[in-house]
Amino acid sequence: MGAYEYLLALKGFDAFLSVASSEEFAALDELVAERDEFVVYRNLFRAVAETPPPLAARVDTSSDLAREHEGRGLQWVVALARVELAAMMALFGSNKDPFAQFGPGQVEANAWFDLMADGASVHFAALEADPWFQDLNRAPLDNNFFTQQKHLLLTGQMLTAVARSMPSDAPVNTRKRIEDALKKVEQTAKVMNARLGQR
Amino acid sequence: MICIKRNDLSKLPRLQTFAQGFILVLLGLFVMVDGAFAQRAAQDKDLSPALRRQVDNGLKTAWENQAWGGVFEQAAGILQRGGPSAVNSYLKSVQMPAAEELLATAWLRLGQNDMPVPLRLPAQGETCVAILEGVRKTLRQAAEDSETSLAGFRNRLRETDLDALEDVQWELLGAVRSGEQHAIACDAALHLLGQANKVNKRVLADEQRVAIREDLQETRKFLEEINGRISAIGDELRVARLDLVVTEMERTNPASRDGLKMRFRAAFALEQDGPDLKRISENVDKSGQDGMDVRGQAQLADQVRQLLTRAESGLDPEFRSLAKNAYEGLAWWKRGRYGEGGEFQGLLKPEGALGNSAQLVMLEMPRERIRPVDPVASGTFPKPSGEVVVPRYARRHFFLWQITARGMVKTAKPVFGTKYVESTEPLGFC
Repeated sequence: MGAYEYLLALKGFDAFLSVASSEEFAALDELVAERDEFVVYRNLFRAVAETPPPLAARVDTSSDLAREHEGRGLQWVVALARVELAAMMALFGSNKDPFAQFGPGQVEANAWFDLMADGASVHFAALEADPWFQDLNRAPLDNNFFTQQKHLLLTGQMLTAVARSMPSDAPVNTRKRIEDALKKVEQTAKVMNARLGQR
Repeated sequence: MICIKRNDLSKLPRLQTFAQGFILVLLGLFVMVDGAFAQRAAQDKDLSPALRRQVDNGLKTAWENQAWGGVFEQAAGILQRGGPSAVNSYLKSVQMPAAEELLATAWLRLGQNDMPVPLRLPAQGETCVAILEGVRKTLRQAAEDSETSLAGFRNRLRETDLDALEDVQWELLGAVRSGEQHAIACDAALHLLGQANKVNKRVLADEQRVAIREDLQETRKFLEEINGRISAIGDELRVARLDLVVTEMERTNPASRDGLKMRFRAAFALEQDGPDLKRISENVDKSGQDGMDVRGQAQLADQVRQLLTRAESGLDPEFRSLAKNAYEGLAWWKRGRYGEGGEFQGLLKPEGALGNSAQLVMLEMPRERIRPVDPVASGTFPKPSGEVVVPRYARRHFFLWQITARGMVKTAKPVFGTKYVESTEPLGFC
């Protein structure tokens, strides 16, 4: 549920964005920002960490109509559609890099990065907190094993896309944290693949 | 001038009469069918440990996941073996709806999803009766609700704020959709009744059967009548919205930001209501104009024709085309964001959706005006709570990875909530 809808939404948005003048864009952006149903709540890492993890992005919201943790305006709406659709494709599609395939345009690039970094942070925190991963060598090769592998795959793809889109002026520490997280995911994936190879 | 006859409501059958009818029918059904209900109710005050486990491990999980086939099969089986009194008492203790409501909901949802279960009507008369009982409860509530809605919508026709008017229109469309679903439920129940009568021929008297049929048909007629009136208010709302937005558009400088925004809103109104406005302007189809006299209809048609001319003169085709893309983007986005697929807590559409265009687009949208809440501040993320929040999922991707197939098994240690594991069935995601 959602893939078909977001795909058609993006078809409409892309057609609009390809021909809209800056005035037309600004007018629609304001209309969207004014309507509550188009709010995208952000910084969801708040639910799993008290302080923002270094992975979390910073976007300039000084000119935004939104209150804290709200994304308001066309860029948030389009960005959310791209992130959700790409994640669904990562889980259920055959494309190896859906986050590149459904990557952001210029208009929503900042919002997209914000949602991606936030999402990757939450997924990674969940993986780290999941006791199932603590003793992978003893985990039974049952259906749950494949489900966990899917989670790992999605997290890895999101982290890769975040690393690739990292602003050039991002702090060294942030960059390192992403690299470390990716390494950890890749190592875990190797262990899981090795277990499957033993089967 | 739009005329609504004042005495329309008084012509409708009184709810009280319906309630009495329902009670009589329910009493009749309990006496009629096999006597199994009454016997078991007296015998079984407590559910056996084995059936309790089946409720906890099977029925409850299926219900929570909206796996309707599982709900139907399990509820029917448990009811058959445990008896309604003991089953419902235990269901209540674990905060689940009564068995007849579970059965009715599952049966109707399966019917909507075009699954084979409703066609394989239950062989047991008591299962049929339980479903009918649940359907009747739903319909009785629907009749009460729709009468209240009708009055509410009428009062809100005079809104002069465009945002408020659009919100009313959203809610009204939801009410119309509910009305349509209840009509379908009536038809389904009628079908079920026919089957139940076949199973229990020897215990059902002819006149009782006729009375039950007439009652359901009457209920359907009543609901249809109210829905027709709500739809008619919808037409008036569309016209009121167009009137407001066109007037605002003409009043603002088209080159200004506000003027441009108003042009978008006018174009959106035409995109959303175009076919209905055309129908009203042509004054062809009078079926949706129940409650309005012929003169009122003609006046409304005139008004719409004038409004359409004014709207089109302010919106050139190029801008209409641009606005159409924006409108479609936003409309589909709302469906992706807030739509629920009917299965697995809204995360999935019915299994056949990939090969069936009607099922592909069919989803449930919130009936009330959408007011999203901060999922973290409201405490509904990361673990979705039982309370209804909008949207139900802060991000679908936080939950979708847990579902890899249909026919899932619940595992013990969730991170974001219930975790599901793979079966051999394909997912068919869309």
